[in-house]
Amino acid sequence: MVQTLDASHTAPAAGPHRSDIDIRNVSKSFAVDGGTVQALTDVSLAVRPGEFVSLVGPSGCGKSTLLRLIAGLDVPDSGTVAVDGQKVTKPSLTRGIVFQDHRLLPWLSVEANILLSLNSVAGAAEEKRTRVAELIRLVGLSGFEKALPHQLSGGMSQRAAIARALAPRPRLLLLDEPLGALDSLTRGYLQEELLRLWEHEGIAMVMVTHDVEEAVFLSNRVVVMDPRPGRVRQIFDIAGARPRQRAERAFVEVKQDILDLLHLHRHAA
Amino acid sequence: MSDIGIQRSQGLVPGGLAPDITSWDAPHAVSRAWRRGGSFAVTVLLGLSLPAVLVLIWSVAVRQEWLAPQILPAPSLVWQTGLELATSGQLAHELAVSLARVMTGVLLGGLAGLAVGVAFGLSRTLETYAAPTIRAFFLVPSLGWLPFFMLVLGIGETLKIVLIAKTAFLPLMVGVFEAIRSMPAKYDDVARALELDRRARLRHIVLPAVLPAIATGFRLSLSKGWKALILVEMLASAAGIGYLMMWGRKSFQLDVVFATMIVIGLVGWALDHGLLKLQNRTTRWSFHSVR
Repeated sequence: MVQTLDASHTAPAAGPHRSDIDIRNVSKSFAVDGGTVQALTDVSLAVRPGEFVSLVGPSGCGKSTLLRLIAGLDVPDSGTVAVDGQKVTKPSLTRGIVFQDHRLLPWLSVEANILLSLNSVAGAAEEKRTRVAELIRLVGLSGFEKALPHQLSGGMSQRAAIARALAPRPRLLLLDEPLGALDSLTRGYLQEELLRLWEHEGIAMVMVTHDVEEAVFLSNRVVVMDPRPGRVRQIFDIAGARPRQRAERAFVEVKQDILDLLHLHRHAA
Repeated sequence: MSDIGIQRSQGLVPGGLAPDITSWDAPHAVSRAWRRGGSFAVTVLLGLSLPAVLVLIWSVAVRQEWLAPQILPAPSLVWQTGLELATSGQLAHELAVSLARVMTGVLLGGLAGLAVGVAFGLSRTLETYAAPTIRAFFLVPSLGWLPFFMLVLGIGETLKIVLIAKTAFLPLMVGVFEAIRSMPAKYDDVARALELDRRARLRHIVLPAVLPAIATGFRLSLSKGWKALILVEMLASAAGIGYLMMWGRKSFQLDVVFATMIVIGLVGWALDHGLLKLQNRTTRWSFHSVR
Protein backbone atom coordinates (compact mmCIF):
# COMPACT_ATOMS: atom_id res chain seq x y z
CA MET A 1 0.00 0.00 0.00
CA VAL A 2 1.43 3.38 -0.96
CA GLN A 3 1.37 5.90 1.80
CA THR A 4 0.07 9.28 0.71
CA LEU A 5 -0.01 12.69 2.22
CA ASP A 6 -3.75 12.98 1.95
CA ALA A 7 -4.67 15.72 4.39
CA SER A 8 -8.35 14.80 4.52
CA HIS A 9 -8.14 13.41 8.01
CA THR A 10 -6.41 16.07 10.07
CA ALA A 11 -9.37 15.90 12.40
CA PRO A 12 -9.39 12.88 14.72
CA ALA A 13 -9.13 10.02 12.30
CA ALA A 14 -12.11 7.82 11.67
CA GLY A 15 -12.81 4.42 10.20
CA PRO A 16 -10.09 3.05 7.98
CA HIS A 17 -7.40 5.39 9.32
CA ARG A 18 -7.46 3.92 12.80
CA SER A 19 -5.57 0.71 13.15
CA ASP A 20 -6.11 -2.11 15.55
CA ILE A 21 -3.51 -4.62 16.63
CA ASP A 22 -4.03 -8.34 17.11
CA ILE A 23 -1.17 -10.23 18.73
CA ARG A 24 -1.70 -13.99 18.98
CA ASN A 25 0.45 -16.54 20.86
CA VAL A 26 3.68 -14.75 20.02
CA SER A 27 7.02 -16.20 21.15
CA LYS A 28 10.45 -14.78 20.47
CA SER A 29 13.93 -15.82 21.60
CA PHE A 30 17.35 -14.34 21.00
CA ALA A 31 20.77 -15.97 20.80
CA VAL A 32 22.97 -14.39 23.46
CA ASP A 33 26.53 -15.53 24.19
CA GLY A 34 25.97 -19.04 22.86
CA GLY A 35 22.74 -19.58 24.81
CA THR A 36 19.21 -18.51 23.98
CA VAL A 37 17.13 -16.04 25.94
CA GLN A 38 13.37 -16.45 25.78
CA ALA A 39 12.23 -12.84 25.38
CA LEU A 40 8.52 -13.57 24.93
CA THR A 41 6.44 -16.70 25.53
CA ASP A 42 2.93 -17.13 24.22
CA VAL A 43 1.89 -13.48 24.42
CA SER A 44 -1.55 -12.48 23.21
CA LEU A 45 -2.89 -8.95 23.25
CA ALA A 46 -5.42 -6.91 21.32
CA VAL A 47 -5.31 -3.15 20.95
CA ARG A 48 -8.48 -1.36 19.81
CA PRO A 49 -8.50 1.48 17.31
CA GLY A 50 -7.64 4.79 18.94
CA GLU A 51 -6.66 3.17 22.22
CA PHE A 52 -3.67 4.21 24.34
CA VAL A 53 -1.97 1.12 25.79
CA SER A 54 1.12 1.07 27.99
CA LEU A 55 3.45 -1.88 28.53
CA VAL A 56 5.18 -1.90 31.92
CA GLY A 57 7.34 -4.46 33.66
CA PRO A 58 10.85 -5.12 34.92
CA SER A 59 13.81 -5.23 32.54
CA GLY A 60 13.88 -8.43 30.56
CA CYS A 61 10.11 -8.82 30.39
CA GLY A 62 10.24 -8.37 26.62
CA LYS A 63 8.16 -5.20 26.42
CA SER A 64 10.53 -3.53 23.98
CA THR A 65 10.73 -6.76 21.98
CA LEU A 66 6.94 -6.80 21.73
CA LEU A 67 6.98 -3.24 20.44
CA ARG A 68 9.62 -4.11 17.85
CA LEU A 69 7.47 -7.02 16.70
CA ILE A 70 4.50 -4.69 16.20
CA ALA A 71 6.77 -2.27 14.34
CA GLY A 72 8.02 -5.10 12.13
CA LEU A 73 11.65 -4.46 13.07
CA ASP A 74 11.79 -8.07 14.34
CA VAL A 75 9.66 -11.08 13.44
CA PRO A 76 8.27 -13.57 15.98
CA ASP A 77 9.53 -17.19 16.14
CA SER A 78 5.93 -18.35 16.39
CA GLY A 79 2.49 -16.76 16.58
CA THR A 80 1.34 -13.76 14.59
CA VAL A 81 1.20 -10.00 14.87
CA ALA A 82 -1.51 -8.49 12.70
CA VAL A 83 -2.40 -4.83 12.21
CA ASP A 84 -5.77 -4.17 10.57
CA GLY A 85 -6.01 -7.88 9.89
CA GLN A 86 -2.77 -7.88 7.93
CA LYS A 87 0.19 -9.87 9.15
CA VAL A 88 3.19 -7.70 10.03
CA THR A 89 6.38 -8.86 8.30
CA LYS A 90 8.40 -5.67 7.89
CA PRO A 91 8.40 -2.06 9.07
CA SER A 92 5.92 0.35 7.54
CA LEU A 93 5.33 4.08 7.64
CA THR A 94 1.76 3.31 8.65
CA ARG A 95 3.25 2.29 12.01
CA GLY A 96 5.35 5.16 13.34
CA ILE A 97 7.97 4.44 15.98
CA VAL A 98 9.79 6.64 18.49
CA PHE A 99 12.87 5.26 20.24
CA GLN A 100 14.18 6.10 23.69
CA ASP A 101 17.23 7.77 22.18
CA HIS A 102 15.71 10.09 19.62
CA ARG A 103 17.78 8.64 16.75
CA LEU A 104 17.58 11.78 14.72
CA LEU A 105 20.30 11.83 12.08
CA PRO A 106 22.94 14.13 13.58
CA TRP A 107 23.90 15.67 10.22
CA LEU A 108 20.37 16.75 9.33
CA SER A 109 18.45 19.71 10.72
CA VAL A 110 15.18 19.19 12.57
CA GLU A 111 13.31 20.04 9.38
CA ALA A 112 15.39 17.70 7.19
CA ASN A 113 15.05 14.88 9.70
CA ILE A 114 11.27 15.11 9.61
CA LEU A 115 11.29 15.48 5.82
CA LEU A 116 13.29 12.25 5.52
CA SER A 117 10.31 10.31 6.84
CA LEU A 118 8.39 11.48 3.77
CA ASN A 119 11.14 10.25 1.40
CA SER A 120 9.20 7.12 0.47
CA VAL A 121 5.82 8.83 0.46
CA ALA A 122 4.09 9.86 -2.75
CA GLY A 123 3.48 13.59 -3.05
CA ALA A 124 4.86 16.88 -4.35
CA ALA A 125 7.84 18.47 -2.64
CA GLU A 126 5.77 21.52 -1.76
CA GLU A 127 3.12 19.39 -0.13
CA LYS A 128 5.76 17.62 1.95
CA ARG A 129 7.28 20.93 3.10
CA THR A 130 3.86 22.08 4.23
CA ARG A 131 3.37 18.86 6.14
CA VAL A 132 6.76 19.24 7.85
CA ALA A 133 5.99 22.82 8.85
CA GLU A 134 2.62 21.68 10.21
CA LEU A 135 4.29 18.98 12.33
CA ILE A 136 6.92 21.38 13.65
CA ARG A 137 4.11 23.66 14.82
CA LEU A 138 2.18 20.74 16.26
CA VAL A 139 5.04 19.56 18.48
CA GLY A 140 6.00 23.12 19.44
CA LEU A 141 9.37 23.39 17.74
CA SER A 142 8.71 26.55 15.70
CA GLY A 143 11.91 28.58 15.36
CA PHE A 144 14.10 25.48 15.58
CA GLU A 145 13.61 24.20 12.03
CA LYS A 146 17.25 24.68 11.10
CA ALA A 147 18.79 23.46 14.36
CA LEU A 148 20.93 20.36 14.38
CA PRO A 149 20.12 17.59 16.87
CA HIS A 150 23.16 18.24 19.07
CA GLN A 151 21.95 21.79 19.60
CA LEU A 152 18.65 20.62 21.06
CA SER A 153 17.82 19.62 24.61
CA GLY A 154 16.65 16.08 25.27
CA GLY A 155 13.00 17.07 25.37
CA MET A 156 13.22 19.01 22.11
CA SER A 157 14.97 16.11 20.39
CA GLN A 158 12.18 13.81 21.45
CA ARG A 159 9.58 16.27 20.16
CA ALA A 160 11.37 16.21 16.80
CA ALA A 161 11.47 12.41 16.86
CA ILE A 162 7.73 12.30 17.52
CA ALA A 163 7.13 14.74 14.67
CA ARG A 164 9.21 12.51 12.38
CA ALA A 165 7.11 9.49 13.28
CA LEU A 166 3.82 11.38 12.83
CA ALA A 167 4.66 13.14 9.55
CA PRO A 168 3.69 10.27 7.21
CA ARG A 169 0.28 10.08 8.96
CA PRO A 170 0.71 6.67 10.57
CA ARG A 171 -2.41 4.90 11.79
CA LEU A 172 -0.57 3.70 14.85
CA LEU A 173 2.24 5.17 16.94
CA LEU A 174 4.71 2.99 18.85
CA LEU A 175 6.71 4.62 21.63
CA ASP A 176 9.69 2.82 23.18
CA GLU A 177 10.34 4.57 26.50
CA PRO A 178 10.14 7.90 24.71
CA LEU A 179 10.50 9.97 27.88
CA GLY A 180 12.78 7.60 29.79
CA ALA A 181 15.93 9.67 29.39
CA LEU A 182 14.40 13.02 30.36
CA ASP A 183 14.41 14.84 33.68
CA SER A 184 11.18 14.57 35.66
CA LEU A 185 9.99 18.13 34.98
CA THR A 186 10.45 17.79 31.21
CA ARG A 187 8.85 14.37 31.36
CA GLY A 188 5.77 15.86 33.00
CA TYR A 189 5.44 18.47 30.23
CA LEU A 190 5.90 15.93 27.50
CA GLN A 191 3.33 13.56 29.03
CA GLU A 192 0.78 16.32 28.64
CA GLU A 193 2.03 16.93 25.12
CA LEU A 194 1.67 13.25 24.25
CA LEU A 195 -1.86 13.29 25.58
CA ARG A 196 -2.64 16.31 23.42
CA LEU A 197 -1.11 14.66 20.34
CA TRP A 198 -3.01 11.43 20.98
CA GLU A 199 -6.28 13.34 21.21
CA HIS A 200 -5.37 15.39 18.13
CA GLU A 201 -4.38 12.44 15.94
CA GLY A 202 -6.98 10.01 17.19
CA ILE A 203 -4.75 7.02 16.45
CA ALA A 204 -3.84 4.10 18.68
CA MET A 205 -0.62 4.47 20.62
CA VAL A 206 1.38 1.72 22.30
CA MET A 207 4.01 2.89 24.75
CA VAL A 208 6.70 1.00 26.63
CA THR A 209 7.58 2.70 29.92
CA HIS A 210 9.24 2.15 33.30
CA ASP A 211 7.16 4.88 34.83
CA VAL A 212 3.91 3.52 36.28
CA GLU A 213 2.49 6.98 36.97
CA GLU A 214 3.12 7.93 33.35
CA ALA A 215 1.33 4.78 32.20
CA VAL A 216 -1.69 5.47 34.41
CA PHE A 217 -1.78 9.15 33.42
CA LEU A 218 -1.93 8.39 29.69
CA SER A 219 -3.42 4.95 29.11
CA ASN A 220 -6.77 3.32 28.57
CA ARG A 221 -5.12 0.09 29.60
CA VAL A 222 -1.85 -0.77 31.31
CA VAL A 223 -0.34 -4.17 30.50
CA VAL A 224 1.91 -5.49 33.28
CA MET A 225 4.46 -8.03 32.07
CA ASP A 226 6.60 -10.62 33.84
CA PRO A 227 10.20 -11.40 32.94
CA ARG A 228 12.12 -14.55 32.00
CA PRO A 229 10.30 -15.64 29.99
CA GLY A 230 8.44 -12.46 29.05
CA ARG A 231 4.67 -12.82 29.30
CA VAL A 232 1.55 -10.81 30.17
CA ARG A 233 0.83 -10.86 33.88
CA GLN A 234 -2.23 -8.68 34.22
CA ILE A 235 -4.04 -5.95 32.33
CA PHE A 236 -5.43 -2.93 34.19
CA ASP A 237 -8.30 -0.89 32.79
CA ILE A 238 -7.83 2.73 33.70
CA ALA A 239 -11.09 4.62 34.00
CA GLY A 240 -11.56 8.36 34.29
CA ALA A 241 -11.63 11.28 31.91
CA ARG A 242 -8.43 12.97 30.80
CA PRO A 243 -6.47 14.96 31.79
CA ARG A 244 -6.26 12.80 34.89
CA GLN A 245 -5.45 14.26 38.28
CA ARG A 246 -2.41 12.52 39.67
CA ALA A 247 -3.42 13.20 43.26
CA GLU A 248 -6.92 11.79 42.88
CA ARG A 249 -7.77 8.73 44.98
CA ALA A 250 -8.66 6.40 42.12
CA PHE A 251 -5.48 7.38 40.32
CA VAL A 252 -3.26 6.75 43.32
CA GLU A 253 -4.98 3.45 44.06
CA VAL A 254 -4.56 1.92 40.63
CA LYS A 255 -0.99 3.17 40.49
CA GLN A 256 -0.35 1.51 43.85
CA ASP A 257 -1.94 -1.74 42.70
CA ILE A 258 0.36 -1.88 39.69
CA LEU A 259 3.43 -1.01 41.77
CA ASP A 260 2.50 -3.71 44.31
CA LEU A 261 2.24 -6.25 41.54
CA LEU A 262 5.65 -5.26 40.19
CA HIS A 263 7.24 -5.32 43.65
CA LEU A 264 5.62 -8.65 44.47
CA HIS A 265 7.41 -10.09 41.55
CA ARG A 266 10.70 -8.53 42.58
CA HIS A 267 10.52 -10.19 46.01
CA ALA A 268 9.57 -13.49 44.48
CA ALA A 269 12.59 -13.30 42.18
CA MET B 1 7.16 24.11 27.62
CA SER B 2 10.28 24.48 29.66
CA ASP B 3 12.13 21.85 27.73
CA ILE B 4 12.50 24.34 24.90
CA GLY B 5 15.96 25.67 25.45
CA ILE B 6 19.21 25.58 23.63
CA GLN B 7 21.83 23.49 25.29
CA ARG B 8 25.15 25.20 25.71
CA SER B 9 26.96 22.73 23.57
CA GLN B 10 28.08 25.28 21.06
CA GLY B 11 31.71 24.68 21.90
CA LEU B 12 31.39 21.44 19.98
CA VAL B 13 30.77 23.30 16.78
CA PRO B 14 33.95 24.19 14.94
CA GLY B 15 33.87 27.82 13.92
CA GLY B 16 30.73 28.57 15.88
CA LEU B 17 27.14 28.13 14.80
CA ALA B 18 25.81 28.66 11.33
CA PRO B 19 24.61 32.26 10.93
CA ASP B 20 20.93 31.37 10.71
CA ILE B 21 21.14 29.74 14.11
CA THR B 22 23.10 32.43 15.92
CA SER B 23 20.15 34.73 15.52
CA TRP B 24 18.67 33.06 18.61
CA ASP B 25 20.99 35.04 20.80
CA ALA B 26 22.14 37.87 18.61
CA PRO B 27 24.15 39.95 21.14
CA HIS B 28 26.26 36.93 22.06
CA ALA B 29 26.77 36.14 18.43
CA VAL B 30 28.08 39.63 17.74
CA SER B 31 30.53 39.59 20.62
CA ARG B 32 31.60 36.08 19.69
CA ALA B 33 32.24 37.14 16.11
CA TRP B 34 34.23 40.15 17.33
CA ARG B 35 36.29 37.98 19.61
CA ARG B 36 36.82 35.51 16.81
CA GLY B 37 38.06 38.33 14.53
CA GLY B 38 40.40 39.59 17.25
CA SER B 39 41.70 36.15 18.11
CA PHE B 40 42.31 35.47 14.42
CA ALA B 41 44.80 38.34 14.19
CA VAL B 42 46.46 37.15 17.40
CA THR B 43 46.64 33.58 16.06
CA VAL B 44 48.31 34.77 12.85
CA LEU B 45 50.81 36.88 14.80
CA LEU B 46 51.63 34.01 17.16
CA GLY B 47 51.98 31.64 14.22
CA LEU B 48 54.44 34.01 12.54
CA SER B 49 56.56 34.60 15.65
CA LEU B 50 58.51 31.34 15.40
CA PRO B 51 59.44 31.82 11.70
CA ALA B 52 60.58 35.36 12.60
CA VAL B 53 62.84 33.99 15.34
CA LEU B 54 64.24 31.37 12.94
CA VAL B 55 65.04 34.01 10.31
CA LEU B 56 66.75 36.05 13.03
CA ILE B 57 68.93 33.11 14.12
CA TRP B 58 69.63 32.39 10.46
CA SER B 59 70.81 36.00 9.90
CA VAL B 60 73.03 35.87 12.96
CA ALA B 61 74.47 32.53 11.81
CA VAL B 62 75.31 34.01 8.41
CA ARG B 63 76.79 37.18 9.90
CA GLN B 64 78.91 35.23 12.37
CA GLU B 65 79.85 32.80 9.58
CA TRP B 66 78.96 29.71 11.64
CA LEU B 67 78.73 27.90 8.32
CA ALA B 68 80.46 28.63 5.01
CA PRO B 69 78.44 31.13 2.88
CA GLN B 70 78.31 28.52 0.07
CA ILE B 71 76.42 26.18 2.41
CA LEU B 72 74.27 28.69 4.28
CA PRO B 73 73.24 31.62 2.06
CA ALA B 74 71.99 34.83 3.64
CA PRO B 75 68.23 35.25 4.08
CA SER B 76 68.35 38.36 1.92
CA LEU B 77 69.98 36.40 -0.92
CA VAL B 78 67.38 33.63 -0.62
CA TRP B 79 64.62 36.23 -0.66
CA GLN B 80 66.12 37.85 -3.76
CA THR B 81 66.53 34.50 -5.52
CA GLY B 82 63.01 33.56 -4.60
CA LEU B 83 61.78 36.88 -5.99
CA GLU B 84 63.70 36.31 -9.22
CA LEU B 85 62.33 32.81 -9.59
CA ALA B 86 58.87 34.18 -9.02
CA THR B 87 59.09 37.13 -11.40
CA SER B 88 60.77 35.10 -14.17
CA GLY B 89 57.77 32.77 -14.06
CA GLN B 90 59.95 29.74 -13.51
CA LEU B 91 58.64 29.16 -9.99
CA ALA B 92 55.04 29.37 -11.14
CA HIS B 93 55.79 27.00 -13.98
CA GLU B 94 57.49 24.36 -11.82
CA LEU B 95 54.83 24.74 -9.15
CA ALA B 96 52.06 24.29 -11.71
CA VAL B 97 53.72 21.08 -12.94
CA SER B 98 54.02 19.74 -9.40
CA LEU B 99 50.51 20.73 -8.36
CA ALA B 100 48.99 19.16 -11.47
CA ARG B 101 50.83 15.93 -10.68
CA VAL B 102 49.82 15.85 -7.04
CA MET B 103 46.18 16.66 -7.81
CA THR B 104 45.91 13.97 -10.48
CA GLY B 105 47.66 11.37 -8.35
CA VAL B 106 45.72 12.13 -5.17
CA LEU B 107 42.42 12.18 -7.04
CA LEU B 108 43.08 8.84 -8.77
CA GLY B 109 44.56 7.10 -5.74
CA GLY B 110 42.10 8.69 -3.35
CA LEU B 111 39.03 7.72 -5.35
CA ALA B 112 40.34 4.18 -5.73
CA GLY B 113 40.98 4.06 -1.96
CA LEU B 114 37.50 5.41 -1.33
CA ALA B 115 35.89 2.77 -3.55
CA VAL B 116 37.87 -0.09 -2.02
CA GLY B 117 37.25 1.24 1.49
CA VAL B 118 33.48 1.39 0.90
CA ALA B 119 33.53 -2.12 -0.63
CA PHE B 120 35.44 -3.56 2.34
CA GLY B 121 33.25 -1.65 4.76
CA LEU B 122 30.06 -3.08 3.30
CA SER B 123 31.26 -6.64 2.58
CA ARG B 124 32.94 -8.76 5.23
CA THR B 125 33.66 -11.52 2.72
CA LEU B 126 35.61 -9.18 0.49
CA GLU B 127 37.48 -7.85 3.50
CA THR B 128 38.50 -11.34 4.66
CA TYR B 129 39.85 -12.30 1.26
CA ALA B 130 41.53 -9.16 0.02
CA ALA B 131 42.20 -6.72 2.86
CA PRO B 132 45.42 -8.27 4.29
CA THR B 133 47.08 -8.43 0.86
CA ILE B 134 46.07 -4.93 -0.11
CA ARG B 135 47.17 -3.47 3.19
CA ALA B 136 50.56 -5.22 3.06
CA PHE B 137 51.00 -4.11 -0.54
CA PHE B 138 50.41 -0.49 0.35
CA LEU B 139 52.36 -0.53 3.58
CA VAL B 140 55.63 -0.94 1.67
CA PRO B 141 56.82 2.69 1.53
CA SER B 142 56.53 4.53 -1.76
CA LEU B 143 60.29 4.83 -1.93
CA GLY B 144 60.54 1.05 -1.72
CA TRP B 145 58.39 0.72 -4.82
CA LEU B 146 60.33 3.37 -6.71
CA PRO B 147 63.09 1.16 -8.24
CA PHE B 148 60.54 -1.34 -9.51
CA PHE B 149 58.18 1.35 -10.78
CA MET B 150 61.05 3.12 -12.54
CA LEU B 151 62.01 -0.06 -14.40
CA VAL B 152 58.45 -0.80 -15.43
CA LEU B 153 57.06 2.68 -16.04
CA GLY B 154 60.20 4.59 -16.96
CA ILE B 155 60.74 8.04 -15.43
CA GLY B 156 57.93 9.86 -17.25
CA GLU B 157 54.73 11.36 -15.89
CA THR B 158 53.17 7.94 -15.30
CA LEU B 159 55.76 7.15 -12.64
CA LYS B 160 54.94 10.26 -10.64
CA ILE B 161 51.19 9.85 -10.92
CA VAL B 162 51.31 6.17 -9.96
CA LEU B 163 53.56 6.81 -7.01
CA ILE B 164 51.38 9.61 -5.66
CA ALA B 165 48.24 7.58 -6.28
CA LYS B 166 49.77 4.68 -4.40
CA THR B 167 50.61 6.98 -1.48
CA ALA B 168 47.14 8.52 -1.44
CA PHE B 169 45.30 5.21 -1.59
CA LEU B 170 45.84 3.87 1.92
CA PRO B 171 44.71 6.79 4.11
CA LEU B 172 41.35 6.95 2.34
CA MET B 173 40.83 3.22 2.18
CA VAL B 174 41.51 2.73 5.88
CA GLY B 175 39.67 5.87 6.98
CA VAL B 176 36.48 5.16 5.10
CA PHE B 177 36.52 1.47 5.93
CA GLU B 178 36.77 2.19 9.64
CA ALA B 179 34.13 4.90 9.49
CA ILE B 180 31.63 2.52 7.91
CA ARG B 181 32.38 -0.21 10.43
CA SER B 182 32.05 2.12 13.41
CA MET B 183 28.70 3.52 12.25
CA PRO B 184 26.10 3.14 14.98
CA ALA B 185 23.91 0.14 14.04
CA LYS B 186 20.81 1.82 15.43
CA TYR B 187 20.50 3.90 12.27
CA ASP B 188 19.61 0.67 10.47
CA ASP B 189 16.39 0.62 12.52
CA VAL B 190 15.68 4.21 11.52
CA ALA B 191 16.29 3.49 7.84
CA ARG B 192 13.97 0.49 7.97
CA ALA B 193 11.26 2.22 9.98
CA LEU B 194 11.30 5.11 7.49
CA GLU B 195 11.14 2.63 4.58
CA LEU B 196 14.26 4.09 2.97
CA ASP B 197 15.40 2.15 -0.09
CA ARG B 198 19.05 1.26 -0.73
CA ARG B 199 19.77 4.48 -2.58
CA ALA B 200 18.19 6.75 0.00
CA ARG B 201 19.99 4.88 2.76
CA LEU B 202 23.36 5.35 1.05
CA ARG B 203 22.68 8.99 0.32
CA HIS B 204 21.11 10.10 3.58
CA ILE B 205 22.75 7.80 6.11
CA VAL B 206 25.95 6.05 5.00
CA LEU B 207 27.58 8.87 3.02
CA PRO B 208 26.97 11.69 5.52
CA ALA B 209 28.22 9.42 8.29
CA VAL B 210 31.52 8.76 6.53
CA LEU B 211 31.96 12.23 5.01
CA PRO B 212 34.23 13.43 7.85
CA ALA B 213 36.42 10.35 7.35
CA ILE B 214 36.57 11.06 3.63
CA ALA B 215 37.66 14.66 4.27
CA THR B 216 40.26 13.55 6.81
CA GLY B 217 41.48 10.84 4.45
CA PHE B 218 41.88 13.26 1.56
CA ARG B 219 43.76 15.67 3.75
CA LEU B 220 46.17 12.95 4.85
CA SER B 221 46.48 11.70 1.26
CA LEU B 222 47.31 15.14 -0.04
CA SER B 223 50.05 15.87 2.48
CA LYS B 224 51.58 12.41 2.02
CA GLY B 225 51.24 12.71 -1.74
CA TRP B 226 52.91 16.11 -1.74
CA LYS B 227 55.92 14.74 0.13
CA ALA B 228 56.13 11.69 -2.12
CA LEU B 229 56.01 13.91 -5.19
CA ILE B 230 58.90 16.11 -4.06
CA LEU B 231 60.96 12.98 -3.45
CA VAL B 232 60.27 11.45 -6.83
CA GLU B 233 60.86 14.78 -8.56
CA MET B 234 64.23 15.00 -6.87
CA LEU B 235 65.15 11.49 -7.99
CA ALA B 236 63.66 11.31 -11.46
CA SER B 237 62.31 14.40 -13.14
CA ALA B 238 63.05 17.22 -15.54
CA ALA B 239 60.44 19.59 -14.19
CA GLY B 240 58.59 20.41 -11.03
CA ILE B 241 59.46 22.11 -7.77
CA GLY B 242 61.43 19.09 -6.48
CA TYR B 243 63.47 19.12 -9.67
CA LEU B 244 64.19 22.82 -9.21
CA MET B 245 65.54 22.10 -5.76
CA MET B 246 67.72 19.28 -7.07
CA TRP B 247 68.97 21.50 -9.86
CA GLY B 248 69.95 24.11 -7.27
CA ARG B 249 71.87 21.51 -5.28
CA LYS B 250 73.69 20.14 -8.32
CA SER B 251 74.77 23.60 -9.47
CA PHE B 252 75.69 24.39 -5.86
CA GLN B 253 73.21 27.25 -5.64
CA LEU B 254 72.06 26.78 -2.08
CA ASP B 255 69.98 29.95 -2.30
CA VAL B 256 67.79 28.18 -4.85
CA VAL B 257 67.60 25.12 -2.59
CA PHE B 258 66.52 27.25 0.36
CA ALA B 259 64.00 29.21 -1.66
CA THR B 260 62.37 26.05 -2.99
CA MET B 261 62.38 24.44 0.46
CA ILE B 262 60.44 27.40 1.78
CA VAL B 263 58.01 27.31 -1.15
CA ILE B 264 57.47 23.55 -0.72
CA GLY B 265 56.75 24.04 2.95
CA LEU B 266 54.39 26.95 2.36
CA VAL B 267 52.46 25.26 -0.44
CA GLY B 268 52.18 22.04 1.59
CA TRP B 269 50.88 24.03 4.52
CA ALA B 270 48.37 25.91 2.33
CA LEU B 271 47.03 22.67 0.84
CA ASP B 272 46.68 21.11 4.27
CA HIS B 273 45.06 24.21 5.72
CA GLY B 274 42.55 24.41 2.87
CA LEU B 275 41.51 20.82 3.39
CA LEU B 276 41.34 21.31 7.14
CA LYS B 277 38.67 23.97 6.54
CA LEU B 278 36.81 21.53 4.32
CA GLN B 279 37.12 18.84 6.97
CA ASN B 280 35.65 21.15 9.60
CA ARG B 281 32.71 21.89 7.35
CA THR B 282 31.88 18.20 7.11
CA THR B 283 31.88 17.74 10.87
CA ARG B 284 29.63 20.60 11.86
CA TRP B 285 27.26 18.02 13.30
CA SER B 286 28.49 15.62 15.93
CA PHE B 287 27.63 12.24 17.37
CA HIS B 288 27.96 13.73 20.88
CA SER B 289 24.24 14.14 21.29
CA VAL B 290 23.64 10.59 20.15
CA ARG B 291 23.99 7.93 22.74
